[in-house]
Amino acid sequence: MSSIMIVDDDEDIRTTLADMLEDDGHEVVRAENGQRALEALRAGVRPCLILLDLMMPVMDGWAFRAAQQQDPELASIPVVAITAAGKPVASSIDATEVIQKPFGIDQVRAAIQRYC
Amino acid sequence: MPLRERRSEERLKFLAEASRLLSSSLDYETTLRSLARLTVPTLADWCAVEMALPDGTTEQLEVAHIDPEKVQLARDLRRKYPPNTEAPVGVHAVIRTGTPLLLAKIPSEMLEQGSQSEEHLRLIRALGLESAMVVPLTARGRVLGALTLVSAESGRHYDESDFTFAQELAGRAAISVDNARLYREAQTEIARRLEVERELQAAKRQLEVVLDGVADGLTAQDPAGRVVYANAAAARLVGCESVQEFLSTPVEALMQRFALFEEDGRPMRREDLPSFVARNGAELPPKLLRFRVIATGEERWSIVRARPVFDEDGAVRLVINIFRDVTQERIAAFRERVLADATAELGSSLDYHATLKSVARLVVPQLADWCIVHVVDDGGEIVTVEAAHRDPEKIARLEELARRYPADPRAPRGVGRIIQTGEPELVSNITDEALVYVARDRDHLELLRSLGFKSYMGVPLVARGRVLGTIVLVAAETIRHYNESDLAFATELGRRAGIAVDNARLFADAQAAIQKRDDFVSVASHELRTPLTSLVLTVSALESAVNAEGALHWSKDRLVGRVAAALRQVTRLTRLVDQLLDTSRIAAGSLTLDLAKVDVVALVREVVLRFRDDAASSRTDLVLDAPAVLEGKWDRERLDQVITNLVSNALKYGGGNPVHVRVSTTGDVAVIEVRDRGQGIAPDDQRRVFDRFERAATRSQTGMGLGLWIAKQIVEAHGGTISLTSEVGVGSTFRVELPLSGGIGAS
Repeated sequence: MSSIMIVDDDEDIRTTLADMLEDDGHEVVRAENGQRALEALRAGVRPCLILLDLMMPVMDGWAFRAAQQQDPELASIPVVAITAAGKPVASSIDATEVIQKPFGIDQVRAAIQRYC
Repeated sequence: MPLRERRSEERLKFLAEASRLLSSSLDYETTLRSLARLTVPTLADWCAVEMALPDGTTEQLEVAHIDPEKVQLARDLRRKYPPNTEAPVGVHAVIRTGTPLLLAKIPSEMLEQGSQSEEHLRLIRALGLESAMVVPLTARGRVLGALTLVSAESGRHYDESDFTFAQELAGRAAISVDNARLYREAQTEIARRLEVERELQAAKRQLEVVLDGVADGLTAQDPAGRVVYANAAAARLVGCESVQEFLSTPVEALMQRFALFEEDGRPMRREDLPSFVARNGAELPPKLLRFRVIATGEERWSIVRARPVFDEDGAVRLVINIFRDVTQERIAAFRERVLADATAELGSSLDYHATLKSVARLVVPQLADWCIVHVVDDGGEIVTVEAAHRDPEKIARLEELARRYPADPRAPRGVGRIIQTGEPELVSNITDEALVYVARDRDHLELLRSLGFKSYMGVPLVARGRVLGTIVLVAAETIRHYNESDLAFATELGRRAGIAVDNARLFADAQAAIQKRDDFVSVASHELRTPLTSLVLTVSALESAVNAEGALHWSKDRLVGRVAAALRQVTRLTRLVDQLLDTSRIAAGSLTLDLAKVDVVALVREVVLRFRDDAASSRTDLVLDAPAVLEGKWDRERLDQVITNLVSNALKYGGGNPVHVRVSTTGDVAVIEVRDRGQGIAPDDQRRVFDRFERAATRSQTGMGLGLWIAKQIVEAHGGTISLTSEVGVGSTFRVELPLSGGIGAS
């Protein structure tokens, strides 16, 4: 099965979402901020999709996305932004797709279907 | 000596005596009377002098006889029988014709013809008249009267030689009378002329008093342009000390004192001046003349009108110029316009810096040489918004002045004081002594002198009772001296500008508040969505834990874990909602404290324990340093909220480095410090962290930014303080000081 990366500073979201995707049979890599996610990717982790929160301490979603796109090894990995921010902030991210919080698991499953 | 020669000698002696008598006085009536008496009895027994009157009648001036009784008799006779002036012979005929009459022997018939009755004839005859000579008193062809010489009791008969002598005597008498009369006429004429002249002088003086009392300048010029008359106002208006100075100064020299302009500011040509046009016989309608006094730079306005006065031949004899100084009226009108323009300008934009600049420029140079606008900025600093002057070089000098000698707020006069007191200031006349008094050193004095300040007004920009800045107007080059009416204008300008500044600031504040509210709504929405997402996912996971047949296919641990997670989300949501409610409660002023004895050490320990798991999950050391017990009178719940917020923040922003919580006392005050070694807060942001809806770094950190604001309100309600010391890259320490005795704002 495909591997999914969840980048979110909210532990409950990380855990709940990961549990559900693992129940679906996916392999899940968790990161609490952009920095950690980037470290994992650079360590060789290659998910078919990154679910990226935007407002996070240390390294936020925008900084992560910029670094990821600049890295030729990583640039092609699709990124779905998951954010609680309003439309104006959400649309400022150059992501493959944006899902606004709160969302249901079905929206995530559909996205995985599209990109993995 | 033969008789003839003796008579001739006597006559000469008589003539000499008569001439002396005639020339002795200009009172010819008296001298003629004396002459008549002189002839009696030497030349005649009777002598009469009859004078012609201007109305054609005659008057007997004198009748002389040696015997006063006979004189009386003659007078009575004449009164009783007035002479017939139309008689063909006699005195009146001589006066009428100018022909002398000699009657060597008076014929009896003549007496009969001349009598008016028997009685009259008898009385005439009784006089015994023998011979008579009637000679006219003739001068310059006019008969002035007649001299009558009559012999009676002497029995003498006049001959030709007597007749010639009588005519000679009459001639001299006539000349004397004529001279006397001419002299008298001349005297009368002179007196009359003197009287007229006196009247004229009095009228002239009156006119001068009237004209000098007229506020309008009045001059008269001859056709060559020379000023032949000027009133006091005219002299004053052209800057002469006196009318004499005006009249003795050539027009050319006077004209060189002024630069003349049309109303719109174009230089005025001399040939367009009303007086110039009037000298050519034409008349212009009254003209508004703008002029600058070259010596002082002062600008003034005058309405000028000139009118030619023509002589009988239609040539211009005089030009009358009337000019009225309307500078005050123009200034008043200009003030009105400036106020209207300023209001329009101030209302045109909310960028009050720009509009205040425009307003300053409206005032210069007509109402002031300098207009300097200061405002008090958000930090309480006095900032110069604009210093307007015609000459950029002067502005540079003023800037140098402001830089080297900044305004002293404690000075007894000036911008600082106006801002403190809100009272306007007026110095009508800035003397050099005043500059010496104000100057802080020699350089300062030189700079002040070089700017040439002559008069000063400073007014506050006021709105809603607060002083927001000042407008200072200074007269320098134009030597205007401000008065109370100028100050009233400036005060009104300050008031309008103040309102504009206030409006602009209120608008900016409102915009900022709206922005903060929007930010808050978006942050609140973000904060609420995060736990809501977890909750939705958890609940849908729980739903899928039960299969289609209703059997639970999760392990117990997993189920308990998920339910606990769901509860955590609910707790988190509850806390967020509580924060929002606290915010509106505090904003409404209805935060109440429930004071009771609290051991703050126990409370802090409890909070630290609550965060043990969180600390562990982020591998953060949470260290408590506290005495055994520290009791005070506080609201336990609220204090818990404060400490929870500080510890939660320290863990969130501490970057995994140890977090120290310390409780201590200083006197009667409990001190709680929470120190992290995280990224720290930049100095600019430190001031704002306690503001509502503020977060040090908005995008990368979460939280509504309400926690610290609420904490501050709670601490202050307890009569305490909360402060922050922080350094970027080193970390932050929040320090709460609480009086042990409890809250000031408690209820």
